[in-house]
Amino acid sequence: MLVLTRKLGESIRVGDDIKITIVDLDGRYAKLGIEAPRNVIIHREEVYERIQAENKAAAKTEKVDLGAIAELWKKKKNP
Amino acid sequence: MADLFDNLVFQKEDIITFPEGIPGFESFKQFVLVNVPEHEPFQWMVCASNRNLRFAVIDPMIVIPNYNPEVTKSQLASLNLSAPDDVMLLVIITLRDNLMESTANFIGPLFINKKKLIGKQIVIDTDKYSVQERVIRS
Repeated sequence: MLVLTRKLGESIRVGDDIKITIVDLDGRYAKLGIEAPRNVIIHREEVYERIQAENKAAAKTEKVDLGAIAELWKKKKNP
Repeated sequence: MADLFDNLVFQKEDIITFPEGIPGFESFKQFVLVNVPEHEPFQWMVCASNRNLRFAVIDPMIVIPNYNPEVTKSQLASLNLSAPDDVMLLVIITLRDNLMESTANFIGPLFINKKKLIGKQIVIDTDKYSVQERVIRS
């Protein structure tokens, strides 16, 4: 991994069209400003990990009775 | 024990391909949507090669009517959409022991090209929604 030290307000360039700036520092938090073309997908690493974890939890359906929740749903909509 | 999908029959034309798989299950790329009348408005998305892998899904608009996930053109590129109407949107349900607490993942909606049967779970990095939105809302 390439490790660079930056001060508040300083930036890093990735390729020709991506610029990442340290816009705020507060204790253990660094706020980053990212300028990138619209077609570049950016998301926080933990968001992807959360999706993976949620999918794994959602896949545990072997003993699940979806009919029961469908009933609950209908009762809620048409009490 | 008999399983709900032991006798599931589907045609090749029913298979939705997720070229990138589903995060967490990247090696499974082919799924079939199954309607069980008693389970409506929920549906099942069952893996074509392993029926034990399946997800309960629902149309997100039924849960949050004004749901509006923001995605970029490049996130949608692999779906090969020719018209916006070709998109079907689903969210994956996580069923809890207390069913009332069951949730749906609103930051990882499934975008499916209904015409070409290509799907993708797209990550929406937003604070507006959560991976665990209550399905049964008061």
